[in-house]
Amino acid sequence: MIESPVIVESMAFWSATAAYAVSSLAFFLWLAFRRSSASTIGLVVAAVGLVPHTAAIVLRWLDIGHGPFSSRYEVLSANAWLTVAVVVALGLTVRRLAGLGVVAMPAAFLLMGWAVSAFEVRQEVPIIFKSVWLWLHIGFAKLFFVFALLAAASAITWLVKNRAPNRFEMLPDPRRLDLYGHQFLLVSFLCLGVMIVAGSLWAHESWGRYWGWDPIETAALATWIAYGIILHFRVLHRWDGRRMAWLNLVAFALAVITLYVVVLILPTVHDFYMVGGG
Amino acid sequence: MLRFLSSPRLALALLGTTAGYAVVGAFASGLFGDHRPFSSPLFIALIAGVFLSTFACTWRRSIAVWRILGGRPPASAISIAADDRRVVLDFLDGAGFRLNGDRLWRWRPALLAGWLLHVALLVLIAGVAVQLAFYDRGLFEVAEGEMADLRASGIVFGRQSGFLADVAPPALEVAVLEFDPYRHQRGYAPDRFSSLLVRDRGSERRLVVDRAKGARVGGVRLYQSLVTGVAVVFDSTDRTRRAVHLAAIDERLGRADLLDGNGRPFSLEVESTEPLNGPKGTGPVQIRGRWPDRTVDLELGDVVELVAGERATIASVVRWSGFSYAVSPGMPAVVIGFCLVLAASLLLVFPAGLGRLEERDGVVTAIVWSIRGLEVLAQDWENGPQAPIDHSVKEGES
Repeated sequence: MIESPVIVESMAFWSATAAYAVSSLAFFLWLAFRRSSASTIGLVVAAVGLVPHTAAIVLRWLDIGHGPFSSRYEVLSANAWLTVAVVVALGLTVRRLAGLGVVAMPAAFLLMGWAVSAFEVRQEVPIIFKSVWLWLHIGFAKLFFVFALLAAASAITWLVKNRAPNRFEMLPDPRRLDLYGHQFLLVSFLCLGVMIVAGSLWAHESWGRYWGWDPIETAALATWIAYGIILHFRVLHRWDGRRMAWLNLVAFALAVITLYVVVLILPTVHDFYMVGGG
Repeated sequence: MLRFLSSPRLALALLGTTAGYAVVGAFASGLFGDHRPFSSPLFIALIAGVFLSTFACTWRRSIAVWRILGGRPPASAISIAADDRRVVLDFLDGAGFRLNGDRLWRWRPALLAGWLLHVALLVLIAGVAVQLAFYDRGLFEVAEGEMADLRASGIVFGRQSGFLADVAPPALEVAVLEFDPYRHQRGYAPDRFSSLLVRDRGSERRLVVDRAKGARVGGVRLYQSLVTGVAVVFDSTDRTRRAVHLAAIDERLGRADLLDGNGRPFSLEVESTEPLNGPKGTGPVQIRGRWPDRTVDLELGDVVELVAGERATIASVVRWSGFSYAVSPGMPAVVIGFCLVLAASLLLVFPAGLGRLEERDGVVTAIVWSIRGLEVLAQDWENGPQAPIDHSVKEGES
């Protein structure tokens, strides 16, 4: 009989990681051998992996008394969970979008790998986390990442499909992929906006100032403006196809820099969320 | 002028420069110290440029937007035509368009999204401008049992305010009823917690302030800050009570430099057995007066002659705590701007569209327009059960 909840949590976490690895492999096989059953297997295994992953997150939550937002393990693991959950939900509702798993599932697997570097970190959160704005700020930061990733996945599949339209018949046609990419970019623009606004109101409630030009705040604002510029190119200059695919990838790179890079290289009031690990 | 200001190239150039300036300014500020890059004339000029460009763009596009909302598809609309009205309507219904009279709508409120986002940015920038002009914030310290009048000389320090703000800090008097530097609230790390008595124009209110949330009095918000230390409280012969706040010299020693009754400098010290700011409390403390030529151990009840001949009795050793206040008159407009930005961003997600139904010579034509995905719609129609009708040929024949 296993007594320690930490061991159970660890087992659940590794089960989910293994499931995401198998799912990634299935999507690669689907792309390489064009067997539609492989994408179904990839989606099902990803959905199955969500079960132990949810258990791992809940066990940690019960142990430390707060949600997944205060260490590299908690944040990245929750981001991976949300990525997989959205991919599964999209794949089940719009079957043509299941193919995005070929990019999203390896990304989720990599997030799990990075998360485990801080598995041992368990800490209480600062008192300023006692705020409803926290949930909006952090929740939409996670959604921002997921939808920026899906926009990038649409862009990558567009580039692949456009290179050999006849070879990758199972992927949606380029026009539709272009539209999906734009749609995901708009949702991530919304999520980034909510993240910034909620963070700003949270800062005002906690410190009496809504904006402090903290490196993460600045990076988020610059990214939001960059998204605005990309949307202008799309709407006013009618950019689409290859140029928008590359711009979607630029947008995703900015999202990664804002969420994961700035916090590692510059001192910021946000540094608690990537604490731990190497 | 309006044409120049509303040009997309100018908008993109201004947005790109603002984003670049923000990144460089914030990073340079972090690396080389605070040189206030975001109150520089260049940055203010950039934001003014963004405001004017956004205003011009919004103004110019207003007519087109209201025309679309009124049911008139723009020139980029496509035609979908068939002999059977049902085929056209079923196809467009599948694409989310709903018939209302002779108009077809898809997410009609979302037709306003782009325009509303621009209006939201204008409100937001205006709110930030009001905030920058009128804001007022500062720091103050209060010991337990002490009443701090924020307008009294020397109470507020580190004050920052906008160029149109009141010249004096808010007319508030603040006393600390209780201060706990290590209050543990379940699920959270121990942190500062205060109970305050605040006098605002004659009325008194008791407020609880912790570091999670400020407390509001009138238009002023009070915040618990991190700094704390020990204070020696004196009762003066004129029955006033004053607290001397000691600065931490090392882990167990606090000191304040004062003048005695003869105008000679001396140091008032408190030495503790446990760390002064440790979670276990200070433990027993020793109060000491240190002159250049002598050191005197002091106790509660001892009388010390302070500057100007004031004789004061040591009443207690307590803890002082730091607070800050903030007056934010621009916040309502900023919050409204935020709400509009979010509403517009949400509407942007929906692929709004409209169509107009026409029937001539037995052919039903829908003039359809959508803010995006029009090519996919046309492609779906061409790939659908109904082959496209060459509308221009039919018109020519008739």
